[in-house]
Amino acid sequence: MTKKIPLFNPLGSIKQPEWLKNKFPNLVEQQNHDHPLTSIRKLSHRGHEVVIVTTYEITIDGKTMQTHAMVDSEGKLWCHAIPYTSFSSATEMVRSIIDRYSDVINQESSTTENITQDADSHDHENH
Amino acid sequence: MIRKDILSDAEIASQYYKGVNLLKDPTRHPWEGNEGLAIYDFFVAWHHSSMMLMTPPSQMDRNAAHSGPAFLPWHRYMLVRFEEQLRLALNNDSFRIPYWDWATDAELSDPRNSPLWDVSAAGQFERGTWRVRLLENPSQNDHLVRVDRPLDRQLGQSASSFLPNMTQVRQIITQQVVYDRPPFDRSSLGFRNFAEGWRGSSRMHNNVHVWVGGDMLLSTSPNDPIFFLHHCNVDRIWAAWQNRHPNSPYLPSQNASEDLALHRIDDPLHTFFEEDPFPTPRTMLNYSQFYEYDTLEDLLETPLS
Repeated sequence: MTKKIPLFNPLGSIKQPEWLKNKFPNLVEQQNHDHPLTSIRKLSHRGHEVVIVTTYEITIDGKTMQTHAMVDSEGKLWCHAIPYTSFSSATEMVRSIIDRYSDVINQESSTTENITQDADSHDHENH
Repeated sequence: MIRKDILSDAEIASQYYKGVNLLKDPTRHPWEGNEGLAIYDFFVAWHHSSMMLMTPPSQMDRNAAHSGPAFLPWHRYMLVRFEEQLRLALNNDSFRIPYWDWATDAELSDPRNSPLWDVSAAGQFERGTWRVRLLENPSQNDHLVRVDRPLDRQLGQSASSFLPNMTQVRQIITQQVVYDRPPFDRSSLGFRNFAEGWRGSSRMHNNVHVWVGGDMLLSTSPNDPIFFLHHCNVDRIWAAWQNRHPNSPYLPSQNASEDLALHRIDDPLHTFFEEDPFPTPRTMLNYSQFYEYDTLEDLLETPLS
């Protein structure tokens, strides 16, 4: 029998199935959405345990980029936004993100601009 | 119930294009509760959600459907559910998704000239009424947002991309005798990772996404109907590997670490559907329960060294 298409709103925070939250609560609750640009690499070398923590802070038009990204074992970057390839540098990755997501990024920038303009005009009205 | 090469059967191709256009129409096949979205868009959202679930949460490589052992069984399962919706829309119980044999197109002097990209075929989605409605927002924790724009493709425009050829496909089928190996991520050796494309110079599945470019580069890649034709071919390659190595088990087994949850052989696969029992990698191994391929012989030939 054909399965009924599930009902959920795909917009806003990332949705996960209810059964998954019940069966693997830690898996869903502990997803790292607060520090999406931090990655931790661990390795052993000559009996020494090495931990390398890499954090990027990237802003586009003053707005912090919040995509998930990681540094892989070869030092290349990978991000959720463009998931089928890796990048040799953060600049290459950000350029690709701007190229591929120009519609949402432009929308974000114009929204920020509008909010700033609204706040400015509101400020003038008050003074 | 046979899955065929889309370029070998005009009627199957025509049914596929008709089916996806129907599933994309929110007036005829609405995604209930989401005005302006259609059943097709659900599959875009599902793929994105699976990619956003890190398994385990302490790392950012392996997710519920990629960079790990479940990559092949999860996409087999996703295609089976999509195929089911196409049958319903087409009112055709025998319909099966065709595959895009990109390894054969790789032999063309310019694969962009393949008849697949004609406006009467898959080229139609770059024009006409096809709209991209859901897109990730990299500025907002990778949430999905609504957009309304045409499909974007950049065939062969990425300088480093190419379509893997038949020799490269045959090589991974012949040479990779183990399904997957620890640490079961993008650094692993084993058939799964060579097929996914994080290992090997051909970068197999990943490279095809990059070669098509545009929307196929993104976590919302099912926005392009070529996604399902591509993954049908990836599934055919897995089927050929299963035939070549019938005694090589799916790995990891169920007694592997909890860190491999959703990837062990009896773990549930990521799904929004109400399933009883849940699909698992084990229940996806026997593809013959759902379909057969018109041929695997072309993939099973001994590769030229």
